[in-house]
Amino acid sequence: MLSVKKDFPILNKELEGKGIVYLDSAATSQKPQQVIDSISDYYSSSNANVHRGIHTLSDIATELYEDSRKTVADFIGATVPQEIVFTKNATESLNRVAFEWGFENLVEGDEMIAIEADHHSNLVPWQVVSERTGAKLTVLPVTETGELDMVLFKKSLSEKVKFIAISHASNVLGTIFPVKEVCKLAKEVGAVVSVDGAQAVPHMQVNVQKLGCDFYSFSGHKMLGPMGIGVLWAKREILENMPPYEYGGGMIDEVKANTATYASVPERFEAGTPNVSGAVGLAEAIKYLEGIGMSEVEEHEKTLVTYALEKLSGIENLKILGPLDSSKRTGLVAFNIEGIHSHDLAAFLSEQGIAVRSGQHCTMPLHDSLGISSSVRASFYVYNSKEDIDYLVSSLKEAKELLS
Amino acid sequence: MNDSLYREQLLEIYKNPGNRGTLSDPSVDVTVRNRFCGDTLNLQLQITDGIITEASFNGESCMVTIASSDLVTEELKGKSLEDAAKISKGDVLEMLGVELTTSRVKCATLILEALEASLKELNE
Repeated sequence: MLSVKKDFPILNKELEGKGIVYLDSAATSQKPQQVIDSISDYYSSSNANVHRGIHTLSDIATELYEDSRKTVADFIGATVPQEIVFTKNATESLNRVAFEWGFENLVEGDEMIAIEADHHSNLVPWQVVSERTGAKLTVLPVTETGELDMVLFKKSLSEKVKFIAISHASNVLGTIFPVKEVCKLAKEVGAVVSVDGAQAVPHMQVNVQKLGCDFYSFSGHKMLGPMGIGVLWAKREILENMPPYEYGGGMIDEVKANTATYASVPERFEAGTPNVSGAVGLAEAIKYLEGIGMSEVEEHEKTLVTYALEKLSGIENLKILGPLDSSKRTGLVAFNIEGIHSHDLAAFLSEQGIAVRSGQHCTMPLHDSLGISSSVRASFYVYNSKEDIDYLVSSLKEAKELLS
Repeated sequence: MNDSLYREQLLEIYKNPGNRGTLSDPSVDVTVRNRFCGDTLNLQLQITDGIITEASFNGESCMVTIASSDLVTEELKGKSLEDAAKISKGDVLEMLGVELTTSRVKCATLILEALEASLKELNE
């Protein structure tokens, strides 16, 4: 088991007289001192606007920004750093795929596939694309164990399918979806695949080239980085054929009074002053994770989720969502206790110093299909331990006593 | 746990809310939704000569919504529609008598949304 909690200042503080047991990393992770320092250092010694000045500070800031892009590119196996577009979060990245690629390339008669376990940010943009272009959107249900129904998926594929939206890992079910296989099948019919990697990149080694996808999106803040920085990766040839999303400074080549030509990728997609400190913080987070080793991170979470599944299964009337086989999961478990509302459980746990998420986790179609109005989600990361899970389980038992 | 949400009084209401149910022939019947959690809350009122004679609520909800709904429906009985419209968010929070986090104030005031929608429907 890892022991890195000491690096996370917030987890070593008290809140209302109690220690913090943080089990909400799927919403946002906590940040190690190294990441916090990198942001402070950037503003203390390197801050200037990038790509604009001749002066030394601007040069330093530009170098830091571009080095961060390279760190991200290497981390996810991009061919070149130019394939990395910095955004504000995964939601923006996913929306850009719809706005910059979907509107340009889809027409009536085309079909798109999404999965009901997709986060709203990987589903709603495609509802809009469908509405405006006339392309048909099919939303596939998941199996009873929360997995992708490959038979149904294959049946839905045809030459008409031009686009597939899929989560790499579900933020509710925890399921790791077979993205590589989906991409292979998509290629056979010529469909483009956009992967929501927000719940995968923080927790496992991801290589976009090996996956074979066309777009891959994730957020910095779920992987120990700061809020406000996200990544859109796309194959260079796809990016080069996409129009800009926003217009203004930094993204142009030449501007005349009535016309303009645009910069090459990725600058074309980064209009205005970018979030340099965010990129620097994200790069530091990646270095931190690489210092631990992504296979160790994965191993740590696997141990925790296996332990959590076993302990939670021991609570009567507690129903776990998603597969019970921990090898098919990332480090989170969503569940319900019969007869107790998820908000009441979360509020009770909060009084014990435990932070969990409750509600629908931006997946209303999935909750509808599961026949539940909401759920509680405990999500683990590098700083969590088996003791955290023991405390969660004993507190849940107390909550049951009190509330049922 | 003095400031706790789980004080005996609220727990009692939660476990046995007197006004939870349905009326046989309501004058108005409205359902509202809490967009944060997807909970729905149904409110039914029986009105005679501008006075609320019966009030009941229903729905799968959290403790805060159930407790506030039960307290508010009790308060509504015997009130004129005019007076019912005067019940404020502050009144509801006072009835509950516990400190609520921002996210749960919405749970507490869902019953007020249902009441407002009911009064609006009656006016139309």
